[in-house]
Amino acid sequence: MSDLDQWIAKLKNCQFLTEQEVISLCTKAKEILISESNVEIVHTPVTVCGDIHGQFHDLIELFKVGGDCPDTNYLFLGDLVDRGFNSVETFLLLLAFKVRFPDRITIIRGNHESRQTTQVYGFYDECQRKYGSANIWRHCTDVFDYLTISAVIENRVFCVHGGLSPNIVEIDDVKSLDRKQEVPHEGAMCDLLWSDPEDIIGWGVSPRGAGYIFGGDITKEFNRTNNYDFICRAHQLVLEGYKTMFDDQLITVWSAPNYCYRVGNQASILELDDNLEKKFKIFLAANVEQRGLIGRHPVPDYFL
Amino acid sequence: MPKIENTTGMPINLIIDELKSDDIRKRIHSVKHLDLIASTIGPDRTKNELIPFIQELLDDDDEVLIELVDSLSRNFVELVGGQAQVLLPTFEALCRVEDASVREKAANQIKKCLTQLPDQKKVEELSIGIIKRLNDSDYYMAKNAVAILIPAIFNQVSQNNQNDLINIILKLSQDQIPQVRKFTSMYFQDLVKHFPLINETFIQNILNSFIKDEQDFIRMYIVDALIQSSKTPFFQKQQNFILNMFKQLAEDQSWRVRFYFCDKLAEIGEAVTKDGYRKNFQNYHLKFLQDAEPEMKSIAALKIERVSGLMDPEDILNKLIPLLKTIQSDTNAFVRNALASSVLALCPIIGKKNTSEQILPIFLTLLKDQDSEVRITLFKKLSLITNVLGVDSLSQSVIPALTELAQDKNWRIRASTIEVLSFFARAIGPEFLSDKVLKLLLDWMGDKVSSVRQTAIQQTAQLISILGLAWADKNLLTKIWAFQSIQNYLHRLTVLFTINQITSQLTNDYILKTIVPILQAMAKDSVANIRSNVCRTSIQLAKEKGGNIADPMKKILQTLSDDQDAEVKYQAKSALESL
Repeated sequence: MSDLDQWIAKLKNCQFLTEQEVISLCTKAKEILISESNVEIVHTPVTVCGDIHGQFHDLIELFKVGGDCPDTNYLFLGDLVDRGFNSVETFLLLLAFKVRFPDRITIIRGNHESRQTTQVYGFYDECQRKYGSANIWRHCTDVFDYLTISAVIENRVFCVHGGLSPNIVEIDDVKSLDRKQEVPHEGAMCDLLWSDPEDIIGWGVSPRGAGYIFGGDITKEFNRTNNYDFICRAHQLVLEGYKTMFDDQLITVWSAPNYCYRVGNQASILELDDNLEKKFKIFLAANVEQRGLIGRHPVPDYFL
Repeated sequence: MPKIENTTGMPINLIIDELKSDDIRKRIHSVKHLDLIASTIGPDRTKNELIPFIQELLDDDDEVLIELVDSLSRNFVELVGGQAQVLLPTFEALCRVEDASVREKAANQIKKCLTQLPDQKKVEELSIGIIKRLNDSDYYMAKNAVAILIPAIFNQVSQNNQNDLINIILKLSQDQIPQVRKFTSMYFQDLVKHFPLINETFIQNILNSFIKDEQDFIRMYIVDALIQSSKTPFFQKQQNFILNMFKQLAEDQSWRVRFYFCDKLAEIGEAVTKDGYRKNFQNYHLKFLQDAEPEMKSIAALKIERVSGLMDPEDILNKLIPLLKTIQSDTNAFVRNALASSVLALCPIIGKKNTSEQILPIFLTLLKDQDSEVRITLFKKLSLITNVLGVDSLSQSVIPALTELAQDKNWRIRASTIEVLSFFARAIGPEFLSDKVLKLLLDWMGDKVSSVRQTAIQQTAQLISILGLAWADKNLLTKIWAFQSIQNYLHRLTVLFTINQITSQLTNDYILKTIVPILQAMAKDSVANIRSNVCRTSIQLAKEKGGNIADPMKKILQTLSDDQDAEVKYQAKSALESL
């Protein structure tokens, strides 16, 4: 236990762990994640968070608004890595929380928790830069395979990273999938991590090249069949931090403020209290002072 | 010097090898531990092998060089057996690199090494050699170090050498590359300290050539040179020259020069004394407060705090304060912010009556500023005006401002405002904490942002230490304990966090009477996070209070050690074990 507490303390300071420590953490994590169902059961109260994308200091800001783990229960909807500067620290901190407090935090897999995507969008490069080799990346991507792909809160809220799939009608269809693999290019598991809601009727081709777009009728049918109040997902940037669609039957939560350090958007988290009452909390990116000194060279003289 | 311990977990040979590794991170790591290597191999081998080896690293990336110069700045003179001159070639080479911070550190290290050499002749020989070589270098950046070193050794060398150095400075001041002229200007302030070893004519010639320079960043640094020369006898002989040049800089076309001048007003005032300041520069400061450039207004407003000590109180009243009335409504928030941070410094100087008539209106206007930063800045300087006018008269006007800030959209503003409470509580006492103010505090305790709630809890603890437990219980605590029945668990947690924060101020009686029942009730809460924190609070109370508290706490922990939640169970069990 004290090892974990030490690692958590280090990571909270944005210091990354040694290779040995990471391997140890990943091994422990797999032991816990392996027993989670494809549709993990989560109880209220819980705070749901969307994409983080390696924006570590904004994650700290999120905790300042929503409360520290484990006093507050959290459900992260995936896409913890890629694009931001600190995917390593972000992922490892949340993983360490998961191992230390398995009942207080749930992590769902996003489309960026994949070997293919992380080689293009930054996580692989960051691991190389910080550790000098691809070992850490390999161990982390192995852990990705174990992450669950959906959750249900009190049998009333369905949580997934992307959206729905034409191959998933009842929730049992999700349970019967084999999730312990690299995110496939097509099929139900891929759709759940890649699809987007859209103001159309029925299903459509997704401009992302994976998953589908789906309309309000599909959403309402799915919710009615499975007795859900609404679907909670992330995956799409929302300038105001959150967006509700289809008569509140689908909510998108986005938790990476000032996305890629330039979009200037707000971020939000969704607090569900003991009685499943909804409250959105908006927050902005952490200031430069909060980010601390990222080792920078002084401005070259010829710019004075 | 004691040997340095190897805590890297790596053998010394490996660290030495990695100095030449392909991986930049490994090179940096080894360079960071140069002192360890030197300490292990001893001064002789360090002198004869390590230092020459380091010469080969000098072609490396800036990142490595930054570490290198830092590493060599630590104790290395001792590590080479006290023979500082061994390090000079390495530092000299580091004066030729692209990175400005490395060059400056290296030059300063050369200065340090030279002070540690006992033989004056040697110092002269070595320093002149270094200076001439760097000056003759093809790479113009090397002259940076020349400008730093010449003032450092000027008074330790022969007349002939001094003449040579003077000529070098003359040439540098007229170099066609602006960078080089900039270095010369920046460090000229160190050279003028050697008056009269450097003569009047020379100083005047150099300054005259700088003031005509077309680059504002070269003219800028004349301010520093003039300030330094005012501290030498040069000032007596050439007072008019100095004052006139100051005035030229104050009226310079480039706002950056005027800005730099204004920034140093307090130092200028000290150098020329109060009379000199009032006669020559006071008007410039007043002019800057009306400058077209908002940066100028801002720096001038910021300086009010320090130059007010140089001014005649009559002038403050008649000439300075009228200008402030325009500034308090300037369109730029950072200008008003600068005013907020320094205007209250005038209160102790002009006395109670004037403060009430002149400063209080400005204070009240800034208190209602639309920008919350301005209001917060004002609050931070509150004691300056309350010391003069008394706290009571102000508290009435402050409360509406506090109330508005308490509802600001930015949670950091809300959190900073909370801290103002204990300031007033300390100064006025419980009468300040009227119903209105207490309501504010309770609102903060129930804020939607966790950090604000945390700050409010800390303030509550502060208030109890100022006003006592009895007061707190009657007016505040009972309402906080009522949070137990709020539907949202995050707010129920506030009850437990508060108990944690005020443990040291609670009496055992109070705990038995009020706290124990709360904990017993919350131990049955349906949310595991609450029960987890009951464990935390119970163990804290048991350990800090002991005595008749330990038993009821143990009982609570015992019930929780059977909890269905794994984390609660674990916490309860380990808490019981530690008791």
